Amino acid sequence: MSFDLALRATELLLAWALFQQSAEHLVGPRRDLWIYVPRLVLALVLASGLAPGPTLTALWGLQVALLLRYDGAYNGGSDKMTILVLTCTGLATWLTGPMAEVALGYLALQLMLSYFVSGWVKLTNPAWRNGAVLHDVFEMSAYPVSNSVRRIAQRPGAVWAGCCAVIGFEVLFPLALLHPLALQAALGTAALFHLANACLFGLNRFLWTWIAAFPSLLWLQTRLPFGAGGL
Amino acid sequence: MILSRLLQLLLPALFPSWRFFKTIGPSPRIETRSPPGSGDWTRLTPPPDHIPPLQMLQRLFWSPGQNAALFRVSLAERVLGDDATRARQLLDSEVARTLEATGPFEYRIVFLSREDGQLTATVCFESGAVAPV
Repeated sequence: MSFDLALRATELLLAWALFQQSAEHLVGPRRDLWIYVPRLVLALVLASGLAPGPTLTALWGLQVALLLRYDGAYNGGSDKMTILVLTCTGLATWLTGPMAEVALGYLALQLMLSYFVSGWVKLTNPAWRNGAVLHDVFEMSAYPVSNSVRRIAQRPGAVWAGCCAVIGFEVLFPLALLHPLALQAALGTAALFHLANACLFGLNRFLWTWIAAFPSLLWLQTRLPFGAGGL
Repeated sequence: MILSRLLQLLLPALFPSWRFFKTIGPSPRIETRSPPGSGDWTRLTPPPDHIPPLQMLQRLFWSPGQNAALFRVSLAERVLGDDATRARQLLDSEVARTLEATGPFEYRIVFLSREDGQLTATVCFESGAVAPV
């Protein structure tokens, strides 16, 4: 994937993520509409491809305003990823040459680390390896889940298998950079992982914001020494 | 002051640690009663028993209630931390909005945790009477 194509794909996916988030707040407190209505309109402008630099800068400013409004994240990790994608894409748009590539490359690096680091901390935790943590996630976490989903905690075999699958996928994720097909498969698996989290735990915003960072990694893979043809 | 706070909020997003779910800490639930001091506590937005697959798919695109619930969880954790004044104001406002309160109410935060293999519930915060904004 070329740099220009990756940047445009990121803009489009980010535009959708921001539109989706902002639309949900149109039924929220009226005092927040001064942020969310312009954010929704700017997301449409970003999708149109008109003046991406100024649009991304304005969206970044609104994201900072949201950080101050809520004195932190509204939606935890998904807000953090939104800021990261906005910052890196904005810089990649304004900058030129190698610096623009560094900006998009940083986003790709953080995307890869988001899987690897979270997998590594699970792998080094005995309570994750024996399934106890995931059991507690289903049984008592504060996620807005249905009682039928909570009953998954009563199936220890399924919970343990889920732990192994998540840890294995996350820790091995960087190896997918060795071949384009492996990366496509890994990103497809990652999308399914986020989809499952959205369905089971209500984390719908994570799905859209993480997917917005995928093109950066597809581009970075072509810039690595083993290139588009794989190792 | 604002710049310093902004940096505190921005830097973890620009240089994230990505240490999701290292452990599962105590998990907050918000319970309310209205008017204050009356009757039993009721859980704010109790979970549904079952969500049909079609509704699950729909929530991928439209889920303001679930995301507001996640925000309340985050605020409940912040209320018990240092410098909780702003979190308390935000949580008062979010609970009032969710209750669609027209009169005074109170809420408390109950933390579920696992001790010696058993789930235990501990009341960690009581708001006292809150007037709807």
